[in-house]
Parts: sequence; structure tokens; C-alpha cells
Amino acid sequence: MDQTIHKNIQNIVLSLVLLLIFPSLQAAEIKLSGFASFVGGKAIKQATLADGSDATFVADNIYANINGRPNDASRYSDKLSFRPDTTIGLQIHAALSQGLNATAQIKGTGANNFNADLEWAFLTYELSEHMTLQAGRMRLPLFFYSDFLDVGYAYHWIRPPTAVYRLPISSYEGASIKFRGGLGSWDSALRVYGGNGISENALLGDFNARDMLGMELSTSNSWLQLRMSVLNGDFFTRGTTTGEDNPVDAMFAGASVHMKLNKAFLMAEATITKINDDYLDLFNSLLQTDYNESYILSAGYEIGDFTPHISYTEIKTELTGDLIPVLEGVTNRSNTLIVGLRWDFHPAAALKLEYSSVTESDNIFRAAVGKTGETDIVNVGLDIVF
Amino acid sequence: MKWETMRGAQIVVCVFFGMLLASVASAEIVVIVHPENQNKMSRADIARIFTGKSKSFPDGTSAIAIDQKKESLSYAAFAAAVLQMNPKALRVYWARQMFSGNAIPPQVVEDGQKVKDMVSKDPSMIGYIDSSIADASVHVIPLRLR
Repeated sequence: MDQTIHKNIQNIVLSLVLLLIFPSLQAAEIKLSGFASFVGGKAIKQATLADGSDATFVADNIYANINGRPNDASRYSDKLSFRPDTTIGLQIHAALSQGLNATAQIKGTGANNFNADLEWAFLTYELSEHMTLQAGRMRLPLFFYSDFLDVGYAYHWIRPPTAVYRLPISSYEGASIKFRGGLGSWDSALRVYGGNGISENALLGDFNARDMLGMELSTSNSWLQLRMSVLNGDFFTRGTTTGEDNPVDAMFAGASVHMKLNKAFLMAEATITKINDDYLDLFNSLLQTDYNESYILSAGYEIGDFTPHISYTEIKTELTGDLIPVLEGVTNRSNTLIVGLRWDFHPAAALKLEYSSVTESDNIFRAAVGKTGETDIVNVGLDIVF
Repeated sequence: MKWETMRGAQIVVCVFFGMLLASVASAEIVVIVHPENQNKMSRADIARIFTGKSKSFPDGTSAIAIDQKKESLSYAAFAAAVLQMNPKALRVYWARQMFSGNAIPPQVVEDGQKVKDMVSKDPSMIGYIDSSIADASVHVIPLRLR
């Protein structure tokens, strides 16, 4: 399929969703809500890269690059910046008749120069108490925090740790079906979804996800929440050796556990990404990778309105020797320690203070490219919901 | 200030907070439905309806939850006893549900009297009120809260 055709189809899908929504708005019950995060931060320690410049901390991977160039607005350097994590979103929810709902979300982030993007526009149809259909542009539900990734108020960090939450794509156009049910004090849900996605901000051309098929399974009671997610699809980046006609087949798997023990909480989330093809370059890098693993461990304790927390994350990237045989199996580890405090000083607002420190393993990978991302940053943020 | 006087002041403060706590704890609430609604419901069934996880009563008929203001004593008592969440956890829960497009919070009305009026007129509604204002216009769901 040609790129313009693909984009036209996306636009047609969105227009159809909007067309379906608007004529019925007079009759619908409409709820307008929103969220905002105002975050400032700067690097207090930066490693020197191979080319002599300083390492930076990429806070927003969706907008890490714009028009094929590294985007300064998505990164923290030694200059105080309010852009990488500052986000404002508006959501409109219209309850139509007969179990039909329409949801649209518009988001602007400093990392993307506050351009308003239509993040979501989808229809939800409740077939029964236990079965829900959704169609349109939706969030790709890869991770536990995917569904409310931009809503700082909904979690304890400034941002979900970038070791796990690092993929360049967060929304897709397609359809999903969700089954849910309860048994005793347990509630479970299964979501199966399929569709296509695109990120126009990849380093060379746009990053494309086609024919994705995914599944999400979760179960929870009042103190324990378990979740797993898998996805398979075809991916390509224009301008690399991959393309429309020779995409790479890749899979993703993730799992998470959340535990609440009185005033303490503990969480862990781990993911695996695997590219199944040889000799194909998805990320335009000589240091080709076909496998990576990442995890987050996090714990916190509520003391009144204060929640101090600590997290440790790792991303392990394994190189392939397809292009440079000596690199076969060489791994790089990047670890981040995050220490923070959330203060719920108001029923609809929270103030956060956070320190993150990134360290990387010392090996052939680093020798080849220099220290890649060792940076310490501090952040102060205010999250509100309205 | 002399030691004895300070001790006295401390005791007065303790008694005052003790009374405050006692009044919070004694905000006894009951869960109510329309008198024609004879569904047997557990705490978990009620929590599912009030957290947007279920939209029907056990017999399959549609269920609409009516909530009270976040500042009310009934809200805090209901959240603790039935939803088993503190108000902060509940706010985060709803932010997650709302901004993921999953569910929207129940309608909020001004007080228990209004909840009772609405529930007494609509068999699909379910609410909670202070036990002192419950009467024959509504059916109180037998539940052991605390």
C-alpha cells in the first residue's frame, strides 16, 4: 500500500468517527475533562559523548526526533527546561444511546512545541455487560500505564520510567474487543486488538507498524493486580533497508504486578522486544539490535498526603552480528535509579520532586559509540486533573 | 507555661480529636435501592457498580450509581467500607478510568436526601445515605459494613 493511501485511510477512519459523533451530540450526555502537567528540570551531571558533546536525558521518546533530527525539546540538558514533560490534554466523552459512547482526546506537549494532536477518537459500543467493542484511533495498550501515559496525576513518577516506556509509537488505528467479568472479589478482562500505527518522528523517515495483532489480559482484587500483554506485527522505517515491501516481523511481550500492602505499594513491569528477521535495519544504526529486555521495580509508602518512592530500571540491548559479525551477542545495559516524592496537596493536584540517575555498562558497545546516555537529572512537576 | 498546664492542654486536644474521630466513625451509612428491587448483593457487587466495572444488578437489569460529594462524611465512609479505598486512591482510580476512556464516574448529587428522592423514584438507581434518614420509600440492602 502506498503511503498516501495509508494516510488517506487513516483520515477517512477519523472522519467517519467524527461524523458519527457530531450529529448525535445534541442528544448525547457530554462530559468534558482534562489533565495537565507542568514540569521543569535540568541535568546536573552529563557524560561526554564520543563526538565531544554532552549526553542528554530523553524524557519523551515519541518526540525524541522531529524531521529526522534529534529534538532538543524532548531532552534535558544542563539548561533548565520546561518542555520535555509539560503536557496539556482535553478529553470529550459523549454517551450516545443504546450503549454507544464516543471519546476523543486532544493533547499538546512541550516536546512537540505544544502542537495539538488528536491522540484518540474512538467509538465504544457495549454489546453486553461483559463485552465491549471499540473502533477508531486508540492508545496502543502495550504497557500497564499506556492507557493514561500522559496523565501525570494518575501515577507517582514525573513520567513512567523510559527504560520500559520508550517505544516511538503510542496510538494506533484499528478495532478491539474486550471481555470482562467478575468472580468473588476478582475482576478480570481480556482485550484483543488489531490495526496499524505510524510515528512521523523517526530519525530518517516515518516509523510504521502494520497488521498488528495484540492481546491484553488482566486480573485484580483490592490489593493485587496482574497483567500481561503480547503483540506481533510488521514494522518498517522509511529511509532504512526496511520498507513497505520488506518490513521486519517483530514481537513484544510484557507483564506487570502491582501490590498494595496497607500504606505501602510495590510494582514490577518487565518487557521483551524481539525482531525476527535477519539483515534488516529498522533503526538506521550500524549497532543493530534484534532483542531487548527491560524492567522496572518500584516501591513507595504513603505518609498522609506524601508518597516517597524509589525505583530501579534496566534496559538490556543485545546486538546482532548480521552486519558486523564481531558484535554478535554483545549486550549493553542501561540502569536508572529514580528517587521521588509526590505530595497530594489538593484533591485534584499533586506536586512532585524527582531525581533520576542513568548509568551504563562498560563494554564493547560503549567503546564503539562512547558513553551513550549517562545523565543525572532533577525534576519538579505539578499535575492537575479537571 | 508550666508543665502541668501544658499537660492539661494536651489532654484537651486529645479529647477534641478523639471526639472528631468518633463522629467520623459513627457516620453510619446504608446502601439503598428502589423498594421493588429485591436483588441480593454482596459488598463486591455494590463496589463493582460504583467503580464502573458493572452496569447491571445481579438479575441483569440496568444499574445506575448515584454518588455523594467528595467532601461529605457519607462519601468517606462509603469509600472506606464498601469500595475499600481511601479518597486519594479513589481519585487516582477515576483519573485512570476516565482518561483511558474506560468508564466515567457516577453522577454526584448534593446530599443524602436527594439520593433517597432519586432512588425512591427509579428502580435502576442505587445509592448510599446516612442510616438516620433511611425510610420506607427505599429498600435498604442488608450488608454488614464494618
